[in-house]
Amino acid sequence: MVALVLSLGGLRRERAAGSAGFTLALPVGRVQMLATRAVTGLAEMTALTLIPALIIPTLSPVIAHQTYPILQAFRFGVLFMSWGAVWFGIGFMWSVLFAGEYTAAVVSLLTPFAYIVVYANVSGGGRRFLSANPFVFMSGVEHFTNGTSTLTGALPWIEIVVLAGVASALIAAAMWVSSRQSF
Amino acid sequence: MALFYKAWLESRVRFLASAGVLAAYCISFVQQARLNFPPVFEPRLPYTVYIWRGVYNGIDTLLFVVVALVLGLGGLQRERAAGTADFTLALPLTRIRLLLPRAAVAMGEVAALAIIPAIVVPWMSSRIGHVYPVADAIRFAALFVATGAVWVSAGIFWSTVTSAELTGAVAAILTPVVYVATVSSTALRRWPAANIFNVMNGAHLPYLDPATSLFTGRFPWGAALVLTLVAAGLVAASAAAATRSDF
Repeated sequence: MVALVLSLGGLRRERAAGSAGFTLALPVGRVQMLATRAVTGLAEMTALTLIPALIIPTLSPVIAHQTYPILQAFRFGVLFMSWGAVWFGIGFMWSVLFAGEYTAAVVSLLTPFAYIVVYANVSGGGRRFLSANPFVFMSGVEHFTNGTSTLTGALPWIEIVVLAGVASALIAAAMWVSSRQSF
Repeated sequence: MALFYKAWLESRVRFLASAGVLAAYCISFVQQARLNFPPVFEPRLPYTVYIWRGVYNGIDTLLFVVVALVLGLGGLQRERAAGTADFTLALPLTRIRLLLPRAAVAMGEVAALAIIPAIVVPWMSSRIGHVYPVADAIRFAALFVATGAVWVSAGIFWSTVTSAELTGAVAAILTPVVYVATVSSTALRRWPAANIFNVMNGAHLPYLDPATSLFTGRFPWGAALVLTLVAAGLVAASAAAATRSDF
């Protein structure tokens, strides 16, 4: 949800607010503007991903008198980031396509739920393509092997690279669409 | 009446899109019972518990809360950002009279959304050879309406007190997260009724039978009344904030 919200904004929103003309008058290309916004949003998302990775190992001994491996926390952070980047890319695309107030926000927030409906039907009720289930993939549950809810083997790098590719494609497509839009 | 129509025009895309996704989710979940029910590891699980887990205590609940919050957004602060606030403020109406129709329309939309599972679940269940009691579906819908009113009011409140674009939306969406974190990490944790999500679906509360996930006796009118009062309080706070805002 936060990844989707972080991706909102941009020229379409500025047009609705009446400030797009000023931004478009700046001596920079639209692709450069969108690339800067994408980098900033992804950096913010990375920072948010690091919050549990830092807080849980740090505070577990203090509050719960337990230890939690920091490496595990960072591995889960990578899983969060991989699907989070895809959600960010989807929100980024919606923010380029929709000009109406709240329209991009609402469509972005409804997208994960619509996706789950489609996924459930395509995957036979979640029996196949587990990596395509964001909740399963981000929780890492399909990689638990020792009953301790920890990621013991290698991270699913192939899936992570695929998801990074999907996110990059969505952001690139949003840039392409934006560069052809008329304001 | 024109103000109600204005509120409807401003929120109808949000409402219709949400209704479509909510209905699609409910239909999809019930249809999957053909494949997933009974679960492999719980062969004796009652069908009503399966539905409760997926619809009344699952993603559907989260979707409903998010949608209710989003339906509450809008109003004069949004109009100020769009540059139309002056026209609305020039109408011969007080700000409270501008706000109340918007709140009423949003509440009505949330009520309509809450009824979707009450219609879809018993109907689709019968189509796949299972039975889900209509009376219980309606009772859950009533609880969803009561809790949805609180979330709508929270959305109205945030959209009234925040002026920056998307700030109200972000604050509204983060509200249930902060609320759950607060309830689950303080002394309130020992009082299940303090968690509005429990009240919404009866989890850990005596009016829901944990064996069947159906209502045990009387509808929890007291809880519904408290939720209604909370919603009314938030709308009143929003009205007070709107009255004092400077445009």
